[in-house]
Amino acid sequence: MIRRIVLTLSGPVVSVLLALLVTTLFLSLSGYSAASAYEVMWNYGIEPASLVSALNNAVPLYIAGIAAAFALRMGLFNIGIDGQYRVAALAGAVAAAQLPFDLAVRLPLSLLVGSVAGALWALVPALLKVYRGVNEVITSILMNAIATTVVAILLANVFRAGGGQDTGTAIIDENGAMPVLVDLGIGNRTAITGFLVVAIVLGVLFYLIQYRTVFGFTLQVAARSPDAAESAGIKVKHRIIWAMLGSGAIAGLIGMPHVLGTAHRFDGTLPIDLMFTGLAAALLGRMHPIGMAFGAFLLAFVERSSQVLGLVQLPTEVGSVFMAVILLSSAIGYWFTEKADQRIALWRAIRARRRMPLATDGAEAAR
Amino acid sequence: MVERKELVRLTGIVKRFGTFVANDRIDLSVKAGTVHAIVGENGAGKSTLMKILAGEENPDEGTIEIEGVERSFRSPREAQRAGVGIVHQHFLLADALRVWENVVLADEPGSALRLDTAGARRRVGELAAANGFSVDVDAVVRDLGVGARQRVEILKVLYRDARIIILDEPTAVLVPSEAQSLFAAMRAFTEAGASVIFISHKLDEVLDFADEITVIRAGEVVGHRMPAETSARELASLMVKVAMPSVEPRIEPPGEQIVLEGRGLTVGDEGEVPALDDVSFSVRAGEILGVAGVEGNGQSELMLALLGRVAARGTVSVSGADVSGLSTEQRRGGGMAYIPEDRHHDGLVLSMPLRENAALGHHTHRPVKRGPWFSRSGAAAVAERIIARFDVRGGGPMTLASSLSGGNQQKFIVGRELGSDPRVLIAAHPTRGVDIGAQSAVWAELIEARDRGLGTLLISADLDELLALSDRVIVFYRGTIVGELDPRATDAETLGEYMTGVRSDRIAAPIDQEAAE
Repeated sequence: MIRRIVLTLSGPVVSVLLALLVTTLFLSLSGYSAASAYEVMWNYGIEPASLVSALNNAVPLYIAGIAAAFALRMGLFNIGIDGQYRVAALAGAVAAAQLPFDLAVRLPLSLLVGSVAGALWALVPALLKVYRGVNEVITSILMNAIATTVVAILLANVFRAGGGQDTGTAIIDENGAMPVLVDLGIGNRTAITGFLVVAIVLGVLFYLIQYRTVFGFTLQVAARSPDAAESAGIKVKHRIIWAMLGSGAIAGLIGMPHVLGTAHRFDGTLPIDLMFTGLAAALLGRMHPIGMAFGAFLLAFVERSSQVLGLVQLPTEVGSVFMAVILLSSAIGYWFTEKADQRIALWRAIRARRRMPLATDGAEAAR
Repeated sequence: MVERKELVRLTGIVKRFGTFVANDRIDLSVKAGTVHAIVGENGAGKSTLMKILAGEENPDEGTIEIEGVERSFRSPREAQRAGVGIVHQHFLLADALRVWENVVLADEPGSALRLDTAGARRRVGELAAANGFSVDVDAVVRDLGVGARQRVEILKVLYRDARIIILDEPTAVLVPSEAQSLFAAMRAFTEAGASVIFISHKLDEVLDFADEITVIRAGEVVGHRMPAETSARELASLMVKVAMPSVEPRIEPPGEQIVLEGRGLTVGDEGEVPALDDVSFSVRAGEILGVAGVEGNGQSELMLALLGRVAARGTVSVSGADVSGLSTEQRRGGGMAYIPEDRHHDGLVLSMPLRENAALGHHTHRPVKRGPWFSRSGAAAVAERIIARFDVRGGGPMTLASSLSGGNQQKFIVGRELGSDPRVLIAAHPTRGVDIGAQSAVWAELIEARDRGLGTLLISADLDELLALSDRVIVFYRGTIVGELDPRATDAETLGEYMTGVRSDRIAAPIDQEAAE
C-alpha cells in the first residue's frame, strides 16, 4: 500500500524534476543564470499576494482538470471543454446580470445556467458519437470553432450592453457576483475567491461520483470493456452521453471565476488557454481529485512567479517552457514509475520466495 | 523408424513472471517431419513455452537451438525469419481488413511505395488452394467464422515459409470435420519436412495424430510418450492426477414449466440474408437444451437476441412473461444469467479486480448497490462467496481478473452467473480452453443447477460436452434449426452431418406437410 502511494507520487515528482532540468538548460544555454532566476521566482512566488493569486488562478485550472478527467475516466477525450466554457461563461454572465433575484438565488442559478449551457454544448459531440459513430475529438474541436463564432455574434448583436468600442455584456452588480471568501488583508490584493468553495465541492463530488457510486462503476466498466458492460446490462451509449454531459456541465463553470469574480461581465478578457493548462493539471495529478488540486496549484504558482522575470531582464517564457515539459513528461514519468514498480515487485517477490519453502500449488495460485 | 533430423531443441528453459515460475527447466526436442503434441492443464506453462520459441517472450534461462544453431530471438520477427510460426488460441487478426491483406500484413510484396495487390492476392489464393483451405481471400475478416479465421492465421504462418508451425489449441473452436481437414493439412506440412507443434486438451486427438507427446504440469515436463505406448487415461493422470469428467445419467426428469421460449426470432437487416432466421424453441425448468452448430451459423445472434443486445424480430419469454421489449438489465433482473462466448471479451474486465468483476450484472441491486453507492464491501463479499463456493484459485477479491488462469476465470464467471440463483442460464462454451479439472467442476455446477430447476440453453462447440450434458440437442445451420436430436440416441458423427448441412429435418417441417395435404 505504502509502496503504491510512493510510486503514485513519484510520477509527478519525476515530471516536475524533468521540467526543472529542461528549464535550467533553456536558461543556461540562453546565457542566463538559472539559479538566480529561480531565486527571483521563488522569492516573488512566496509573497502573500502571489500565493493568493496562484490559489485563485488555480481554481479554474482545477475545474478544467476535473471536467477533462470526468470524460477521460470513460475513455472520452473532451477537447471541446474550450468551447463549452466560453459559451457557458457568456450564458452565465447574462444570467448573473439579468436575473431578478437576490444573491442567494441568483448566484446558484447563474452557475446552473453555465453548467447547463456547457452540458448542452457537449451533448452535440456525444450524440454524434453515439448515433453516427463520429469521433468526439473531431466534433468537439469543430464545436470549439462554432462556439467562437456563436459567442462573437451573440456578443455583438444580442447581449452587448455598451456602444462603440465596448464589447461586453452588462455589468454584474454585487447581487450577482461571487463574493470574496476571505480577505487575508496582508498587503495588496489578498482576497481569496469564493470559487475556492465551488472547486472543493466539485472535487468531492467528482470523487464520490466516479469512485464511489454504481454510476461511476458502470462508467469504468463501459470504458474498459464495452462488451462486458453490455453483457452485464450496462448501456454503453448511455454512459457515453452521461459522461460527456457531466464533463460539459463541469466545464461550464471554468470561466465563471473570471466572469463573476474578476471582470464582472463577459468580455474579451476571458482567458482562452484554461483547457490546456487544466489538462496539464489533470495529467500531473493523475486525474485524482487531490492530485489534480496540487497540479493546478503548482502550474498557477509557476505561471505567477515567472511573471517577475520580465522585471529583471530574464525571459518570461520560462513559465511556458516549464508547463510544456510538464505536459510531455507526465507520460514519461508514468511509464518510468510503472517500470520501477514492476522491478521492485519482482525483487521483493524473489526475496520472499527464498525465505519461504516452495508451496506445491504456488504455481497455479500465481498464474 | 527412420532416425529423423532434430529441428528444434530447447534446453533448460526457465521463465518467471514475478514469483511465478511458468517454465521450470524445460527440455524439448522436436524432430523434422513430425507432429509433436504438448499437453497439460491450463496454466501449466505450455503457451509460455511456445511464446518463448516464437520469440514473443524471452526466457530467463536456457537455450533455443534451431537445426543445431543456437538462437536468441529478440522479437517474433526474428523467430519468423528462423522459420518459426505460431497460431495463437486467441486470434490476432485485423477485423476490418480482407483475408489476403491480413495474410501479407507486414510482409507485403512489392516495393516500399507500391503494394503488389494482384501478386499478393494470387499468392494467398494459391497458398489456400495448395493446402485445401476453402477461404475467400477477398472476404473481410470481420465477417468470418472462427474456423475460417483460424485458417487465415495458419495461412499467415505458411506465407512466411515457416518450417516449425506451432498451433495453440487449434481444435478448440472446430467441429469434427473441420478438425479432420486441419489434421490432414498438418500431415501435409510434415510430409513437406516441416514440424508441427500442437497444444491440445483433447487427448483422443493427440493420441490419433501426434507422433510424440510431451506432458507438462506446473511448468515442468512430467512425461514423454509415444502415442502407441500410452492411453488417454495415463496422459490425463500425468496432467492433473484426477479422473476425466463423467456425467451420471439423470434420475429426475426435467420439469414441465417452460422457463425460456423464443418464437420466430430473426436477426438481420431487411434485404439481407438473416443471421438468425425464424428460430423457435423452448427450454423447460430443470432442462438443458443443447445448441450444436458450426460457429457463425446464428448461435451468437441467438444469444445476443435472447439477452436483448441486438434488435431482433419475434418474441422472447421468460417463465411465460414476454420480455421482448425489455433491456438487458431488466432481463437479467428477471432471472436471466449469461456465460459469454469469450470470457476475455465480454465476460470479465481483465484490468479490474475480482471484486468489481463480481459486481458485473449484479450492480443494480443489493448487496452491491446501496442507494446510489457502489458498496465495496458488498461487492467484495460477493466475490469472496464465489471464490469459496466455486473453488476459484489464484487470488482474492482484490486480485486482478487478468492474473487468474483461464480455468479459474471461467469458474469465476460460472460462479457469478449461478450465484444469483437465476431461472434461466444462457451458457456459451462454458468449458472452452479450460483444463480437465476446471471442466469437471463447471459441469458439476451446471448439473447441480439443473437439478435445482434451472433451465439452461447450452451452446457449445465441444460435441462431447453437448452430448454429455444436454437433455435435447437442436442443431443450427445457416441461421435456422435443422434438427432436434436425442443425445442418448445419437453420436458426434450424426451431429456433425446436421451441422455441416449434409442432413436436415427442415424439409419435413409441419407447415410443409400441411401445405401438402
